[in-house]
Amino acid sequence: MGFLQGFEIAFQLQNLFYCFVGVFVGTLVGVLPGIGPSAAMALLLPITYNISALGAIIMLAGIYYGAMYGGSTTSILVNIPGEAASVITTLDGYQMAQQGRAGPALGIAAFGSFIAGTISVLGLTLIAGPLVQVALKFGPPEYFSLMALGLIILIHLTGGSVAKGFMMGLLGLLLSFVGLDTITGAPRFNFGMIQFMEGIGLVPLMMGLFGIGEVLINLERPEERGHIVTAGYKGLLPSVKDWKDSIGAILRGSVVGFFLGVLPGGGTTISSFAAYGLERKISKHPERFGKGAIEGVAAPEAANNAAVGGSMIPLLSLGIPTNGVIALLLGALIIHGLRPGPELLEKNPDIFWGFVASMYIGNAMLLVLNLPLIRVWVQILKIPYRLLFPLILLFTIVGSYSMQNSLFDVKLMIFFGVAGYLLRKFNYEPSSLIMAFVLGPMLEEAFRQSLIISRGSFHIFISRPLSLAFLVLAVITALSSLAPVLRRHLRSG
Amino acid sequence: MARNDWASNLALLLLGGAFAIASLQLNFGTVHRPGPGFLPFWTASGLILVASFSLARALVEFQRRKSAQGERLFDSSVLNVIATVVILAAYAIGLEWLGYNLSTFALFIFLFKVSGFRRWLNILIAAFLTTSLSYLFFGSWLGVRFPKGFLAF
Repeated sequence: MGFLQGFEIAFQLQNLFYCFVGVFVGTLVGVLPGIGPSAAMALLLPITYNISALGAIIMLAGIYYGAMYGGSTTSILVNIPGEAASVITTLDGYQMAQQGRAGPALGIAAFGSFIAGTISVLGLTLIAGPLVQVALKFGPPEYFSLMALGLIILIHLTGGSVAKGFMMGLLGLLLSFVGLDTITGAPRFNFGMIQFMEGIGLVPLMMGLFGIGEVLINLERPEERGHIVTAGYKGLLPSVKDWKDSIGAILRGSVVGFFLGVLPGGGTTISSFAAYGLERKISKHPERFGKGAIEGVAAPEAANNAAVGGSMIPLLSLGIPTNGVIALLLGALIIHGLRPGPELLEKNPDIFWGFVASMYIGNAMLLVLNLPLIRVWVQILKIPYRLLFPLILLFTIVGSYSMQNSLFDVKLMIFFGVAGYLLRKFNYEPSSLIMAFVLGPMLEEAFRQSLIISRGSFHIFISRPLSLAFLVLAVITALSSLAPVLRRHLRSG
Repeated sequence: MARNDWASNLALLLLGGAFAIASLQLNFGTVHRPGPGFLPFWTASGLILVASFSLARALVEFQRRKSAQGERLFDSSVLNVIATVVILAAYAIGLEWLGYNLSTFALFIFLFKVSGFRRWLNILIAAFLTTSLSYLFFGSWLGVRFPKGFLAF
């Protein structure tokens, strides 16, 4: 089983359908401000219960990279980013739209996304297989150190307060410990409630934090609806000059996005900012940026799409999520009985290669979807949020209930919804919590297995070169997070 | 750091404390052979440490800016949030007794009213259509077994 057979599987009618649904819904949530890919993946998770594991991962991943495409539409036409990863696109995209060049801006965003998406999936195809061979040599100490590194980098890069990031990570770990201990079978933190014996469900937790939490926070805000630029989006094909100006930015954005996607803690938002910064830095006319430079649209849109393919590499080959959305995808795979990591390629090569091949198809579908359907997306932009939120609430309720036909899960989800709302109010980042929650059981298992192997010696974590390297990087990252805080403290005191 | 951070830091400190105490009641094991309470205890201790540090900073900040005009975390629009949470909680409690169709119909009457529908007839029609379609989609097509309630409906 290899890459070409993956295409045979991905081209099966049902898988094409799931791919289409994923990228369509992804574009839709990308277009609509107020609903992110995390919330959309959480909302659609229940629909995947009745379909194959491959269909589920194809659809959920489609939502992720589809949202990256869709996010640019709102950035360019309304000056409101549909996604955090498209924030930077507003700077030049909206300027282009106001100058009557919305069409080329939308066109280059779509073509750039397609080119970058394809390059990054090519990178995924080439790198994931060999990396699996390396990962097969990993033992529990390497896994523990790598997961610790991933968590610390994510906390470091989530933005805002480092202390808040750490607290979210630690809380996520604590919540993951609820339920039966995987090694001794002892019940932990169930507070006498039988429903907690199997632990806190990922579905009520993420639906509450992302679905209900986002709805509640949006209910508080006055509806943001900027002026939709409807003029000049008919000629979507960029001119030869536009291509000349953009192709370098697209290729550089693809490389930057891909590598930042692979790194733990990297992601679409960081990639888009980094690619934009790079373009402005190397440009002969940096003063054009922010005033409608087409490279300012091409580079970040290419980078955020490339980051998606990059972030799939650690997930598929090591079983480690590099950001919050990928953590959700990992959780969904576990719900479907799959354990991403080196074993996935060995035991389920059909799923591995079928999924990789589906990403090529999905990227092509998005190009076809985005350009001709631009009028539809513009109409969707006009739907007020107040009409959407009741439907989002319905999806979250049914989604959390249908996993185990459990009313307790619905109540739990509402509880986490309120928690998610309060976390946002106090500027905490729930994605750190989710990532720690998903990694928690694996982290603990690897930690305790390492100590069993070494007969209780912590030396095992530093005596193995890879484990030591990961830990050193984790310590450097943690110290670099604390450095600004210490500097401020020293300066003030 | 926001002026109101002391409240969230305090809540996380108490949560960390609760987990630490509960961890000690589990088999802690030894450093060389950790039991089920080992990692939770040290994780909770980490949370306590970071939350305490943040709380101290937040309290200093709070004192410093006490007289100044601080940002308000909640305003009158929070009433929409509270009303929605209350109705969701009531829905979750009433779902088993009333059944999916009746309780969801009632929930949507409220939500559509909050979302700005003016005419009651429109609200009732929209709530009826949404409930029916959701039942057809999730119940009939996807096979979700919803609670039927006392009317077995």
